[in-house]
Amino acid sequence: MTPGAQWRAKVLARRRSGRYTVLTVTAPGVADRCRPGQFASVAVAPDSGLLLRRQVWLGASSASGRDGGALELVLDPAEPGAARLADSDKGALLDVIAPLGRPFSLPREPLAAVLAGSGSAAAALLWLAAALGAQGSRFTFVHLPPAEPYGPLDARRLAADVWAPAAAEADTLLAGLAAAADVVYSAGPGTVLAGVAAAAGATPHQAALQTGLVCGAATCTACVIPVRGRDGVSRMVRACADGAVFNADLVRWDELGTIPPECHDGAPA
Amino acid sequence: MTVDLAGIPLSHEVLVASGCAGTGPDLQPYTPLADFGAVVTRSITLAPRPGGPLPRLVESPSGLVNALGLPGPGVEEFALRELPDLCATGATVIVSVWGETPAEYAKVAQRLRQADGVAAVEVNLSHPSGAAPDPAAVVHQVRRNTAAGVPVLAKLGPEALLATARACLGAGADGLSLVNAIPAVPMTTTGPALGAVVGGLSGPAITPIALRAVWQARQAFPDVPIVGSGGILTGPDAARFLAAGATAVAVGTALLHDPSAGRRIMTELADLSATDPGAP
Ligand SMILES: Cc1cc2nc3c(=O)[nH]c(=O)nc-3n(C[C@H](O)[C@H](O)[C@H](O)COP(=O)(O)O)c2cc1C
Ligand code: FES
Repeated sequence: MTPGAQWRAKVLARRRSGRYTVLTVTAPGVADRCRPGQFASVAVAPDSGLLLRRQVWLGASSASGRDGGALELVLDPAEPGAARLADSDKGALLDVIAPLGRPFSLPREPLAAVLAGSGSAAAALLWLAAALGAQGSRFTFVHLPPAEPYGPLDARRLAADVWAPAAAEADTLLAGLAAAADVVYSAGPGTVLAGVAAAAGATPHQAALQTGLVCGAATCTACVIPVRGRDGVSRMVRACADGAVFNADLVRWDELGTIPPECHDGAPA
Repeated sequence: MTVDLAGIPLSHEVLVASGCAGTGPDLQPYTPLADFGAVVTRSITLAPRPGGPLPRLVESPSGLVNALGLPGPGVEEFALRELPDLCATGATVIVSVWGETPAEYAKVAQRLRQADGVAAVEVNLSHPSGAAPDPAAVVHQVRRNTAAGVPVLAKLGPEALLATARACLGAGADGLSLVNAIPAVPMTTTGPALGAVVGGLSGPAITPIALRAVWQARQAFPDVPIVGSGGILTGPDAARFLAAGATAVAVGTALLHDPSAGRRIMTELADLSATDPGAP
């Protein structure tokens, strides 16, 4: 992974989308390198007393324009640090590092896809949806509980079908949709993605894991998850650096948050 | 600005605190490791360690509480791979060591003695339950198993500071590193916030306590080299530690907040001494 660029990003615009806030910020020379599934890490001003950075999903990028490129940062003010960032006025400067993580990989030819996301992470899927649509892929969008759906109107504009199941119905719905699809893309917190992984069954599944708070240069190992390597050996890998998009078949979803005895910190094989 | 730390010349008085640069290379694009006076590695143990359960790191007002569980590859792998990679960046490397018992610390030091590029050894004397069982015995073992020209620094918490520092210096420590993260139990409204329950509080929340430790140690041991750390986010913060009597300072939590903080702190410190000797 090439390291993310760090720069002072100027807030160009701020808009509300349901409970979420979308900031458009300058990203000269960076925007054209960003892809769906990647994220930014943003520092909250240290006078807040909040010292970790926020993992913020990218909702879109535009490579051109007066500012030499811009990014959309999608914030969920339910989290206090994100709420501080969401209060940023037009013209404010933010300490941003991006792009971080691996992006979703797009299919080589048009396919039938299921896009299932929860909360602000759905922003990554909506950006992906635009790319899939441009390519001629057909897809169903599923807003997963418990968070308020992000961008429901965009989803309806882009997707053939949009669902927002209740918690009790989500697994059955997903299992049915996944069985009829070529690929599943998901984004959200680990508990939600574990459910998608179980429902996806044998359908290939790329999952973008939300860890929320991250350190600056992927040095702290607070975000490790157990992942099986292609060599069969499981290792603890950093979700912030080696994800956030994982091949869901290789993640040991039942053991998220634990360190299985044979797993030492390492790089994915 | 060069500084002499127990006989080793450092190119700058700002160091990377133990455990806050990962294995090293990830920080390099943001602040070249060679620009720091030295990089103190995360604490290296005899055997590989997987690290503790999640959550491992949480925020606390103006601080972080970490219970990483000292994940690492063990000293053998460290000496073969990580240490040469770190040295290749041009950084001066201080290796932090940790063990369950004095004998385990001794074995880690023995292995490091055979490796090239160890400028100094820092003995992490913190245990999740507080201080290591017998700090003087640990320091004695590490000193005995470390080459004569390589200084040994005792890294202490603020508890029982002067008695512990005196015991460590008596056992052969060449300097002190003050302070380690302070044992703390962050709670959510329903239970412990950390997987390991007990962690170490770092960041600006501990600065006045760390300054007290540096000040008292300086008063008690006028000639002992002291590395100060605890919540340094800015150049003026670093200057406060130097004013309290630190020989050099280490930056930890700030690098988790902003990986370019090292470079910024060094610039601010230089500007400060150039323009405003009396800043608050
Ligand atoms: C994420 C993290 C990991 C740390 N790992 C170690 C370690 O391995 N060994 C050690 O002696 N101290 C470790 N420390 C303590 C720091 O080196 C430093 O002494 C302490 O955090 C106070 O400085 P700060 O407030 O600038 O972080 C760690 C601190 C943090 C925040
Ligand atoms: S959040 Fe620090 S390594 Fe991932």
